Amino acid sequence: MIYLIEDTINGILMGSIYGLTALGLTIIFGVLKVVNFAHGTLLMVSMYAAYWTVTLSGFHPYLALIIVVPVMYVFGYYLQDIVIKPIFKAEKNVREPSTVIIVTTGVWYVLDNLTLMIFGPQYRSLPDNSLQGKMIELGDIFISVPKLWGAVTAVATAYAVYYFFQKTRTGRAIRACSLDRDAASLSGINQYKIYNMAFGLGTAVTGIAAVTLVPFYNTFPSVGVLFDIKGFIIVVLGGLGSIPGAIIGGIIVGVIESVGPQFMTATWTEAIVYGLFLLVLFVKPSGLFGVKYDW
Amino acid sequence: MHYFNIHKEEEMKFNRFWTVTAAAGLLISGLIFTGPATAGETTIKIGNIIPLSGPSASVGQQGKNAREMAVEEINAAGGIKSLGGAKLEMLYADSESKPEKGVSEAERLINTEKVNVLTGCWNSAVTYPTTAVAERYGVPFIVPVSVSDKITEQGFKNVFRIAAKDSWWTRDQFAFLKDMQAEYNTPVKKLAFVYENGDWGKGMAGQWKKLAAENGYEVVLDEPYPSTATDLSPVVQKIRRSRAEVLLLVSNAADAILLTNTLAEYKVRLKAIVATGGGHADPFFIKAVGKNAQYLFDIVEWETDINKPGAKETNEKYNARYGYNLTGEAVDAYVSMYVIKDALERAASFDKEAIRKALAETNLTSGPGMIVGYDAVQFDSSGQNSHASPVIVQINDVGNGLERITVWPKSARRAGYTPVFPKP
Amino acid sequence: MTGTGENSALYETDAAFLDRSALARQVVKDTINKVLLGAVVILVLALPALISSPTWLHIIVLIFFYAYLTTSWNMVGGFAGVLPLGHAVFLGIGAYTSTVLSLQYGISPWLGMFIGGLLAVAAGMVIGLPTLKMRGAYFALATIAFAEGLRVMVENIEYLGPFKLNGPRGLQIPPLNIGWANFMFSSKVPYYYIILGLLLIILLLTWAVSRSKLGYYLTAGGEEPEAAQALGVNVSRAKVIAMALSCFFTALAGTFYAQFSLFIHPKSTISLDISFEIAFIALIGGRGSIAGPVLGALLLRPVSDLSRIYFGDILPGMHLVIYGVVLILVMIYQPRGLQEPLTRIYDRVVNRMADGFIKGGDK
Repeated sequence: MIYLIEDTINGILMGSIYGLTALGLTIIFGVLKVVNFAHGTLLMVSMYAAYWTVTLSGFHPYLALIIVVPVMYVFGYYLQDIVIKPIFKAEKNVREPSTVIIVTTGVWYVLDNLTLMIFGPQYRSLPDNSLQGKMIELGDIFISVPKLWGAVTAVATAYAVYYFFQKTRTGRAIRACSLDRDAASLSGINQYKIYNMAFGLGTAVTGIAAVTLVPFYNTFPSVGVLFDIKGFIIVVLGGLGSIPGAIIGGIIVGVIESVGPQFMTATWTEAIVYGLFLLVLFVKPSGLFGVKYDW
Repeated sequence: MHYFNIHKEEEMKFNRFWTVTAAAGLLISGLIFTGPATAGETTIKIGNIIPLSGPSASVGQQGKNAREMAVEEINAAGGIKSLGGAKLEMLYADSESKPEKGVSEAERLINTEKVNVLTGCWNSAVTYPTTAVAERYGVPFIVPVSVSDKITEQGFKNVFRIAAKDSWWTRDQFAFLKDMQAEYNTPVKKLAFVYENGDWGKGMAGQWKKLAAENGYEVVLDEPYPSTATDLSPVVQKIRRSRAEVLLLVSNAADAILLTNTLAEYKVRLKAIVATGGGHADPFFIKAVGKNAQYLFDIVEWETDINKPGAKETNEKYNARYGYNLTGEAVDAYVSMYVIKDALERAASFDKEAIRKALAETNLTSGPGMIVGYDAVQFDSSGQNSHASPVIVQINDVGNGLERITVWPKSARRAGYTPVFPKP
Repeated sequence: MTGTGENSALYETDAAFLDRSALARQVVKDTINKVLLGAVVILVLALPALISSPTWLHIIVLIFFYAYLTTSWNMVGGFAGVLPLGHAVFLGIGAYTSTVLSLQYGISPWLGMFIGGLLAVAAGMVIGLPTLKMRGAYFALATIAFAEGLRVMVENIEYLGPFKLNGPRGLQIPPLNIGWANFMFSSKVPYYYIILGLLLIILLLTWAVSRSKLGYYLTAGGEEPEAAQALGVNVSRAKVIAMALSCFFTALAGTFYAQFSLFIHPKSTISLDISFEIAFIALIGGRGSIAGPVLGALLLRPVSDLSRIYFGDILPGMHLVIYGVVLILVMIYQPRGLQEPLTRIYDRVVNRMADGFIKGGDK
């Protein structure tokens, strides 16, 4: 019984972090209606940014947020502006330009391998820092401190983003754009600027996720790939475009990954996650919290 | 979105369009693929198929570095004297750790680049079909590292492997355990097997199970895990709860780091952890995990403190050039170049069959290449280096920071060091 | 065609003149097209005799292989308007079915190929029936999940009932019984003709579908689904049929792949890389058109192989950077695919040639 509790806690913590990594993806999808295949790569770039910030400055890992978040926002903003916007302009009448998928995959290949060329393939992890390896011990139950921090950050970020979209002007403008591009632009909203901001926001959130991962995870050029597919699964589970959905979806995946191996080998839990994903798709494709729109 | 129309005009378009694109494509391909034709007769071309991108890029690069260093030394010392001083020319092809790329590159190196010898491919899954290509064309293929047993069990005549087979590795791991129990009077009954769920891991685990049964151990955990997992705490929890006494691991680089850190975090009590090279032997492993790696045992082809003439100097040279130490796999790549040189000297010919024959008759016992832990390179009838033998090291700090110290076989143990067993 | 002075009375009216010369032009253009087509057909059929290097032939076989795969992908990705990104799973089903049946039971790979195709259709129905109703991203993600899920399963299973799948170690096909009955050859030439044949079959099929009622339904369903449904077109059913066809033919290629490379394992056959590559080639060439996918394969495969050959060992990963940049550039500047500008260029060239012939006739 204790084991189950311990595993569930670990699953919830890790899962919230997964949800945080997927949050950026859901924001971008919710607004731009594009599946950003470069998502994993953006996470990887953010992790490198966080790693170098902490290593060069000796800060507490979470202080790196000060640098990483704005940097990634700008990066995302201009990525959308330079690389993806031209396609939106060219395919004005198409609701979901599928060529964006190819372009983002191109971005993925380019960034992943540029990083490989510049930084080399070795695995880096933060040297002894105030978070690494610390555990809270409640009797027989171990709780990982960096994961706890990560989970708290995840929930806090989710709330902040939710608030942003519901209550602030810019947030509502973004939501308007996502619902109906043309109507929004008739109301005077510059849709392309909105997209840039949304992409920048999604990337900045991914930056936050990276900062939570760096204390206990390795940084290397292909780290993005692992989180990429997982991100998609979580986002569909929770509902594309739904913020609480991303976190809850992440937690579900996290709990399956943590509790599952007690009943079968870890490799089968991978298959179960995919199976669950397919099940959701067939039964309730809009996900747990998603808004059903005119498919 | 759809722009095919079903009018007659489109039918025409289809015809002429397919025509022009087919022609254009073939023309372009034609112009481009007139690649370099024949090999010059004054150099020996060696094709090396290794992973230079993708998840094994780190080890691929190390293998490349080791080869480069060896070839430079060989060429500087006069090349192949029996061929009039012919130099060795190295061609590298990126397998991306994918079998189909390995196969295409082998085809290209053999047919277009006209290499005389091939080496590669690190990942057993790539080496396996690629050697089949070499066999088909009769080109000698040296396998420095891939340990999967079946590579030399295909009945091929052109394949020569330097590293020990994985069944030898597992045999030695168990022999080591037996010796440790005797030496320290600490019996061990319960074993846990945790391994990456690919070809390598599953192969090792299969043999562990057999050896455990033969030696009367109780296997309390048999856990394959995906090497790309983002969180290994569930696996570590299983290890902890199984109350195993000794843990045997097969991991790649990223998961080795993650597992080691997680095992330390969860304060898992074990008498010993025995790894199987690979990720645990990666030069960056110790740096990445720090103190958590202390007391870990690992089995490798080679270690920097091995008691062989020239080993220390060669390692220092490599470290000075590339910034990190040689690993067992890098040394295998290094010695493979010297094996090729030795065979070429004896063959005194560019002919594939002559080179193959010379390789089969190899009995290399000295020279700059022989910094390996054993005394000779000799290939048996299946192409396996019969003398290959790994050593077991322990990671510990004896005053110079964490390093890998050879502990087994007892004859190879570093002077003055007493292994720590069980783990405190 | 054009007369000297004495017949000039016949050509006095401009309209008549234009009519006649337009017709003349068309006839000349048709002839040019037919001649070029004939030349290409001869070239393609005779290619193995002209190329002695097996590496070249190997590369060309792979180009045709991808052209075939992308054309059958196009059936559902182009005509039905959805974006399947896990199509390699059907490749894997075909490869594993025929390989297991031939290794364990001695069944001829040709028969295994057909059975594999049927199994792939079944799998395609499982994934397609619920998801083809959804557009866009959901379908894409569903196909990815299905492909990855199946790959993970195959990697972990040694035996599926009585069938030996061998998990991650894969299955190797020993090149023992050579001959057409066993789909096994020592030279690459027969493989060349087989894949060429398959390619021609799928192109003809695509062309036939495009002109059939099914084709109409698919186009209508793609552009204005609500209107189509209002008119009584069963769009879903059309898409499902397209999916079935696509799965079946993709699986045939799986058997070809197995027999050609003699080694299959989950990561190399049911791989996302292959799935993505198929989709990208089709999209870059121009999906929805008949020749677009073939064009894409002819242009993009050499780029991918060449950049790996020439840059693969200089800087690690450089070739993938180049490939990625090419993808981005093509999609930004030619999102409908390269077949559009290339067709225009071709038209202009042919028009000029036709004009040249006509003017020449004037003299």
